[in-house]
Amino acid sequence: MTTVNNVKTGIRSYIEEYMLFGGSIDGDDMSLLKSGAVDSLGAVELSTFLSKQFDVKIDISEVSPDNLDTVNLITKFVVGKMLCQAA
Amino acid sequence: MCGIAGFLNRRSQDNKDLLASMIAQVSHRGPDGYGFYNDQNVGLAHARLSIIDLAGGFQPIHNEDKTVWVVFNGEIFNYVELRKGLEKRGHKFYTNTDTEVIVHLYEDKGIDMVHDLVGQFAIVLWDKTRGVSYLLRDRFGVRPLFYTMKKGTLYFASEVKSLFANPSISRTINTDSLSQIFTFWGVSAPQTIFNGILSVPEGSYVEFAASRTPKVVKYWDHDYTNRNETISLEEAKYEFLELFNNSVKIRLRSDVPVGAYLSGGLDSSAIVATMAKYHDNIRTFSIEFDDDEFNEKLYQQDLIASLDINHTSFVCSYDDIVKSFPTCVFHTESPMLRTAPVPMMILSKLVKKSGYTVVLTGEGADEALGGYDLFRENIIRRMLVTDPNSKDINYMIDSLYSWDKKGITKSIAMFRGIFSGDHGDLSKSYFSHLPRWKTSSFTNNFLTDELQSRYDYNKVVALYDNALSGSHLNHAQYLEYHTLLSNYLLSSQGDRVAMASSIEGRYPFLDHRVVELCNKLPDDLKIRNGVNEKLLLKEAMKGLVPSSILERKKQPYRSPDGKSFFKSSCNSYVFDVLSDNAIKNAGYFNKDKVSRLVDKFQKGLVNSFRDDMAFVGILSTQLLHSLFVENFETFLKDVDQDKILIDINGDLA
Repeated sequence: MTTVNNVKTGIRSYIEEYMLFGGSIDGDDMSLLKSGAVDSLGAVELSTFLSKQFDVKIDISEVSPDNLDTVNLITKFVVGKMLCQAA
Repeated sequence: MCGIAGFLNRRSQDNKDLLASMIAQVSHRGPDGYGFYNDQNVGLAHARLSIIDLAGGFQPIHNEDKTVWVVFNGEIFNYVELRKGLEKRGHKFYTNTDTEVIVHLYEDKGIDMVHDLVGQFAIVLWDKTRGVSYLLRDRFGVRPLFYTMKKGTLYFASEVKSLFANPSISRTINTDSLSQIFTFWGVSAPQTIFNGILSVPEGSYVEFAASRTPKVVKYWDHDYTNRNETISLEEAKYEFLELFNNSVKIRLRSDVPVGAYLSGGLDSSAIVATMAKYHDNIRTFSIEFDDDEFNEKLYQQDLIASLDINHTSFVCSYDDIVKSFPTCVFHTESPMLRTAPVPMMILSKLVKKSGYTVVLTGEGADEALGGYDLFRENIIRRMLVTDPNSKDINYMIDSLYSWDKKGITKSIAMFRGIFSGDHGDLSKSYFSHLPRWKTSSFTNNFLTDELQSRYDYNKVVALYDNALSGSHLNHAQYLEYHTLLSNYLLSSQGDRVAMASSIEGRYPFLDHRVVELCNKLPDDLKIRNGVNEKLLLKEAMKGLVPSSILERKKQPYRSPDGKSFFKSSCNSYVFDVLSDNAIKNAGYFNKDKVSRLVDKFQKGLVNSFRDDMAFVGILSTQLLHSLFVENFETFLKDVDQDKILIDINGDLA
């Protein structure tokens, strides 16, 4: 069963492995955009990973800082999607 | 165009042999023969690409009494007018070249003669009487000129490989310069990517005499003071067209056929449409890609249909890019962050096969007239700080990044999210370039821990923290001329890859008289309302260039980057060059991070610009190390004795 923690860990691992190439995120509320960990095209890459990894549909209009700027925001966004799809 | 090489203040038994070896390394720049001058102290060598005065005109060239000698790579486009004036003043010419005006002008005006030259040039002049030499480079850095000092001797050459023909010159990569390339896409002259090797900066000359340190003097730079703020669009158009038409016209002066590159964009279309006023049988060339994301074919066809043009396209595949990439690095002599130079190199081969030696091409228009997205992005980023609720911001964002067909980078929410908040210091003249530099500098994360510990992004960026004249747009234009244009577009993507097939590029938008006019114009004639870029050029070209091209949004030339190497079947060398052992032995990068990057590409995960730049940057650096640091002797060429055109003993001349 996928828990919120699993989702968060999966998101953090992907960003640290494939976007920071072994670097680490400084807290789950760190702004990924302002720190440069993720840029605008990186946000698209992230959304592609999220949709494949967690089997959720993400529209281009949802690729925004409100949904993708911190690990906590991304987790909330993805979990919300998963719950909607399960309902 | 040609290659030059030589040395000043060197007395050795092997002077002649070394000179021959040096010039042989740039035979691709001048395949039509060699010329040598040797005296007790000085060796000058020239590899000729015959363009003007095909029958004569062998360099090195001298003045009437053989006290002034010159080797020259480039063209002086106003040589006809200069010659008329010189002959009226009593000078005697023995060739029909543009080169010869240099020595006679020098007799009249000394080194200040450089101000009279309209052209693109790397000149080395030896004044025997005074015992002084000058190394001159044109105002924008079109033609390269490198030098190094060793035991009181100054060695110079068009390309670094000629300097390395001297085994006493060491070949190591400057890791501070590496960080510059990974931030600015190029190295700020006089530094280069190699330790101990210097580049004559654009708009400068180096003065050298024996037992003195070389002195660098800047003779020209952009001047945005005393702008004409009241000039109307109509008046500006008239003045612009007068200079631009002349710029194109004099760049058609050649004893060999002249063609043009035609991308389908406004700049190259403007050049070709203007060429048609002075030239019949226009011949143009362009690149297409298998990958539709990068194609501009439809717009090329609009212009071809409107003028009587004979056009050839070369279709570039992933395999083409991957197979030619190592050769490209050998010619650029620099790491690259993009594969874009590679198709240009292959295109130059096609041009040569088609029987052409000279092409006109559109570089410089965006810098002069505010074409790049970066300039408009700068306006919007400033507004987000000073007037964040402005109703204009959203539609201005929407006008950016037209190449982004998925519309991600111009998502208003993403733009505001990235550029609001910590936006950088608005008072800095380099404010405009911070987003690009920040994205590019991501590659520095792949350096070894030791190199990263020495890297300070803020310190690197501060290289360009200078007080500049003019408006914020002018600051951005100035930086663009001195960073991307001179250190990358004109070198790696320009001169080097064209010269790989002995092709001379000529740049009408880099006529200094055109640039000086544009520098005095108000911002509004370049970018209107934050959305309409290159307004003046569009106005000037109405009626000459199809409206589809005038209305088209700026599309920068791009080619498939990192993914090429993983979609091609010719990529086996990539895994050797980026293996853990190779990375560790070269010593620049962290092998674990590089391995993760390669893994990401192999898995086909969606990649952003910065992943692309990091991959291409790392791969090209590894190749540069292999080709120049480790294995250079393998690629040394010998001079073809049958191609020696003149060999002058200066002590007897």
